[in-house]
Amino acid sequence: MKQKIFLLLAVVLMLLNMSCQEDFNPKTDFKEQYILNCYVNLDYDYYDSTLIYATVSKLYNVDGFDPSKNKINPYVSGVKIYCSYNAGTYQLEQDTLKIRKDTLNPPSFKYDTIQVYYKSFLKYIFPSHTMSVTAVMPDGKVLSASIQLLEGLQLGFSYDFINFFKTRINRFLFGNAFTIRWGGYTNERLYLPKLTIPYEKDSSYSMYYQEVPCTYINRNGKYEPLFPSPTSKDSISYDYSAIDSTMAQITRVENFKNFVGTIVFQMVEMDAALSKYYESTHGSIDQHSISLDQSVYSNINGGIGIFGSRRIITKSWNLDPNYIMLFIP
Amino acid sequence: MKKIISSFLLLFASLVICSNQLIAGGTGSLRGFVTDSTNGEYIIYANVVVQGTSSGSPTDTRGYYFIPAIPVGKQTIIISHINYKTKYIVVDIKENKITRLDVILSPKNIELQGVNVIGRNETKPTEVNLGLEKISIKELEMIPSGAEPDVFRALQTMSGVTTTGDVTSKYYVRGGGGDQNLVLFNGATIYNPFHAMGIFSVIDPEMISTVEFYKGGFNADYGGRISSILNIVTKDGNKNSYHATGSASLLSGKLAFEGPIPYGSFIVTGRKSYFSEILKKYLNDQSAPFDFYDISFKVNYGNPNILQNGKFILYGFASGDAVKNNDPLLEDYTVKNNILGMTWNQVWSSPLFSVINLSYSGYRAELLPNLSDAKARMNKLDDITADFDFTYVYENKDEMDFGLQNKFLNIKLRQENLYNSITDFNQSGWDLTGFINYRFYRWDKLGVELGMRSKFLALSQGRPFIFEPRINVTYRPIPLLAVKASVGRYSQEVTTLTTENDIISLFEPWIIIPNGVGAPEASELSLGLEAYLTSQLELDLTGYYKYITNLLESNQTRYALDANEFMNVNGKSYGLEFSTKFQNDLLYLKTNYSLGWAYKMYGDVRYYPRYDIRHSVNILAGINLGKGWEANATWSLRSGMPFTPIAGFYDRMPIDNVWSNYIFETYKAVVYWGEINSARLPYYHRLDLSLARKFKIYLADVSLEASILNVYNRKNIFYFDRDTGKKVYMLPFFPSVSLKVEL
Repeated sequence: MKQKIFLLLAVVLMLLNMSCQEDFNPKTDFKEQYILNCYVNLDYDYYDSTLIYATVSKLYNVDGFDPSKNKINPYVSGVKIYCSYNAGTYQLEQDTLKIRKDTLNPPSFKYDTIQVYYKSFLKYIFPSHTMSVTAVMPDGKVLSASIQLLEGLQLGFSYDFINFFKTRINRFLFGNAFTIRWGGYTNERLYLPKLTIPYEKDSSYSMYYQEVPCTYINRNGKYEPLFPSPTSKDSISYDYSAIDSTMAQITRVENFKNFVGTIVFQMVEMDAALSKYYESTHGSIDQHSISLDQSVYSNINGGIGIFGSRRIITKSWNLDPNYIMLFIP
Repeated sequence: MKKIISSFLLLFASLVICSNQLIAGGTGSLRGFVTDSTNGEYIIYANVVVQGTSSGSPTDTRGYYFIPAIPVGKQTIIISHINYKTKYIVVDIKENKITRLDVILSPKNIELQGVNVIGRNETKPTEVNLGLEKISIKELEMIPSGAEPDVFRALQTMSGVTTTGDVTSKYYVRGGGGDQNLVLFNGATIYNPFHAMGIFSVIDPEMISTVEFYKGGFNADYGGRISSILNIVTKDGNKNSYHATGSASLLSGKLAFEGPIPYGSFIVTGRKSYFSEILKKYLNDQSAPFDFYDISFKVNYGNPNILQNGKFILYGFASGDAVKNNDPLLEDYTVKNNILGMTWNQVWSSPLFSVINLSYSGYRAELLPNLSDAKARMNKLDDITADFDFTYVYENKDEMDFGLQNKFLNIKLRQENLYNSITDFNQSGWDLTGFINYRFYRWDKLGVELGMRSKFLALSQGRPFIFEPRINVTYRPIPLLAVKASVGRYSQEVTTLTTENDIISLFEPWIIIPNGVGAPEASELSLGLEAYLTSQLELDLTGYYKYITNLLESNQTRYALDANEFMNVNGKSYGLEFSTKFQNDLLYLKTNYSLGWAYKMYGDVRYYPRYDIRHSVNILAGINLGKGWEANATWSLRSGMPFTPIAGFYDRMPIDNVWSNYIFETYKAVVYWGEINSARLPYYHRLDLSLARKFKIYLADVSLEASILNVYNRKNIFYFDRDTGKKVYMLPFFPSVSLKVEL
C-alpha cells in the first residue's frame, strides 16, 4: 500500500516539475489598415448649421499587449476628404491638432493630439438625403462610405401641456406617467432621451440641470433612480412621482436659489449606421455569455471605421408657478 | 446516386429473401433476461454462451438475449459477466421451439471486482459496432469529478471526442458541431442536456443503467443528427428491497429512492444545487447566481397475468436552470427540459422483439431582460415522438430490425441580435421515417449490416435526400483480430442558432432548418481494426472521413433587416483514432490518441472551427489499492485550439457620451483581430487525481472521495478578451470532496 502511494506521489511530483506556463505569442503579421471615423452632426431644423467631422488613423503595433505604449501618433494629416450630397461636393478642412480627450486621465499615451477634419455650415441638407464621404490618403489609397440622413421625427405626448407643465393632472384619464412618443420609428435606430429641470444657485450665474429619472426602482431594499439608456423603442415614460421627487431633490441642493421655470426634453437620434456601430461597441446580448471575435460594425469601404449621423431634438415647457411653489421651502 | 441506391436495394432484398433458405434443421432457440441477484436490475453486456458450440449472444441494454440455432438436447449454458460470478445451467433445447431461460447472477464481492470496467463481448465476434463505445457507471466513477461526476466529461476522455474548455461539458465528435450530437433519454430526445451554461450535464449518474455512445457509423435505427448518438438508459430500480441513497458534493445534494412494486419496480432520483460559489472557479470569478435541479423517475410493470412476456415502462425527467439576479437592472434567465414517456417491450411467441416508445419532450428557454440592456429572447420546443421498433432473429443467427419513427415538432423562437435585428419563428412539422436493418451473422468470420432510412415526411422545406443507406461490416479472420468498416449517409433537420464564437452561451435556441436554406447532410466512411493482444489488453485503430454539406450558420453581422439571416457552409473532417485498454483486478488503464482535421468552407474561405484539435491524448488509470481504497487519475493533452490572433491595435471612437458634440475627439485603443481562427493556442494539458474509499457504517454503505483537478495548476488558455487581448485561463488547481451514503 505504502509503495503504491509513494509511486503515485512520485508521478505527481514529476508532473509538478513540468512547465505550467509557456511563452506564447498571440500576434500575427501586422498589416497596414486605415480607419476613417466621420460623423455628421445634423442641425435640428436641417437648415444650415450642420457640421461634418472626420479623423483618419492607421493601425499600429506595439511590443506586448498594451496599446498605450504606442509612441507614434497614428492620426494621419494631409488626407483629402470629400463630402457629397445633393448640393454638391465639398472638401473638409484640416483643423489644428486637437487634444485627445482620453489622455487627460492616466494611463497617458505617448501621443496626445489628433488630426481632425471638418466642414461647417453645410447648406441645403434635407431629411433622408444620401450623403457620401470619400477620403484620399497621402499614399493614394481611397476610403469611402455613404449613408442616408435621418428623416426627422414628430414628437407626441400623453398629455398636452398647453400653458404650463405640472404633474397635478387627472391621473385617472392620463395615467401616472408622462409618455413621449416619436414617429418615424424603426428598430434599426437608437434614441437616447433626457428630461431635465434647470435651476440656479446663489453662488453662480451658471445654469444647472438635474436629469429626471424615468422611475425609482427597489434594488436590494434601496430605491434607486432609473435613467433612460439608448433604446430602439419609440417612446419613453416618466413617472409623475419621479418628476416630483426630482423637483424636491433640487431644492435640497446646496446653495439652491430658484428654478429657471422650465422643464426640457432632449433626445439624441442616431442613424442606422451609427446605431449599429454603437450597439456593436457597447451592447451585449447578456451578462454571462462570452463571444469571441465579435465584429465591430463598419461601413467604410477600403478600411474600417464608421460614417454616421445624429441629431438632437429639443422640446421645453414652462413649469406652472403654482407647481413650483409646492417645492419651495 | 440513384444507381447506387437502387443497386443497394436490390442487394438488400436478395440477401433478405435468401436468408430463410439457410435455416438449419434439428435446432431450437434460447432466450431470456439476465438480472442482478441483489437488486433485480438487468445486466447489460453479459455473455450467454452454449458450451462447446460457437452459439452465444450478449445481453442488450434491456438485459435480453436470444440465441438461435442451438442443437436440440441437453446443453450447458454459460452465463458470465466480468463483475459477476459465472453460472452454468443445463437446458433442454427442443426442436423448433424457443426455450426461455431467465438467469440471476450474483456479483463478485468488491475486492474481487477490482477496477474492471466493462465486459468484453465474447459471444458475437462478428458484431457490427464500429464507432460504438459502451460506458459503464464504473468508468464514470473513475474519472476525478471535481464538483460533480458527469457522463459528458467521460465522453471527453474518448478518442475522437474533443471539447473547447474546462468550463463546458459540451463535446464535439469527429469534427462535428455541438448540436450534431443526439442525446437520448430512454429513447426521448433531451434538447438541452446541460446545467449552468454547459458546465455540467443534466444526467445524474445515479440514474444511469448504461450509456451507449456512437461516434459515427450508427445504423439505420438512429437518425436526426449527423455526428453522434448518446443513448442513455436509466436504471429500473431495485426489484428486491427498498433502497435509499444520499450524496453531497460541493455543488449539489442528491437523493435516490428505489424499490419493488407488485410485478415491477420503481426508482426516483433528484438533484439540487445549493452552492453556486463553486461555479466561479469555472467562470473565472464571474458572479453567477445559478440554480439548477433535475428529477427523474422510472416505473416498470410486467404482469404475466395481463400480458405474457411484456413489460411496460413509464419514465419521466425534468430539469431546470435559473439565473435569478434579484436585481431589476439585471436580466433573469430560465431553461427547462421536461420528458414524459412510456415504453412497451414485448417478446412475442415468434423470435420477435418489439419496442414501442411514446414520449413527449419539451424545452423552454427564456431570457427576461427586466430593466437591463440585455436582449429579450425566448425559445419553446415541443416534441412528440412515437417509435415502433421490431427485431427479428432468424434461425441462421441473422437479425432484422425494422420500424417506423414519428416526430411532431413545434418550435417558437423570438430573439433580437446585437443590432436590434429580430428573428421571429413559429415552426411546426411532422417527421415520418421508416428504417430497416438486416444483420448477417450467419457466417463465422464475417458480419454484415445493411440498413436504410427513408423519410416519408420531413420537418423542413429544404428536406434532405429521401434515402439514407448505411452499411457496417466486421471481418474477424482470427479470434483476436477484427477488421471493421462503416459507410453511411446522415441528415439533420433541427439545429441550434449559436456560433463557435459563443464560447459561453446562455441561450442556445433550437429551430427547424428554415425555408430558403438546405438541411445539413453528411457522408461518412470509417475503417477500423480491433485486436485483443492478450485476454486483458485490447487495441483499437480507426480512421474516418466525413464530408458535410449545408451546415447552417447564423449571420452574426446581419446589420440590415433585409440581409440574409442564415447561410449554408460546407465542412470536412478526417482523422485517426488509436486506443488501448488494459484491465485486470488490480489495474484499469485506458489510453487513446486522436489525430484529426476539421474545417468549414464558405465560398473561397476555408477556416478551422474552434473544436478542430489536431492531436489529443487521454490517459485514464484506476488502481485498486485494497481494503476499499481506489485511486484514479486522468491526464489529457490536446494541441491548441484555433483562435483569431491579434493583428494590431487601433484607436476606436467609443461614443461614450452621445450628448457630446466632440465625440470624435475621444478614442479608445483596442485590438484589431486578424483572420478568423488562423492561429493556434498553446498545448492544453491537465492532470486530475482522486482517492476514494468505500466502507460500511452499520447498515450504510459509505463512499468518500477526494479529488484534485489540474493538480499541477497548468495555466491553459481559454480565450483572449476581445477588447483587451488579455489571456483568460481555464480551471485552476481545484480540490474537492464528495460523500455518498447508501441505505
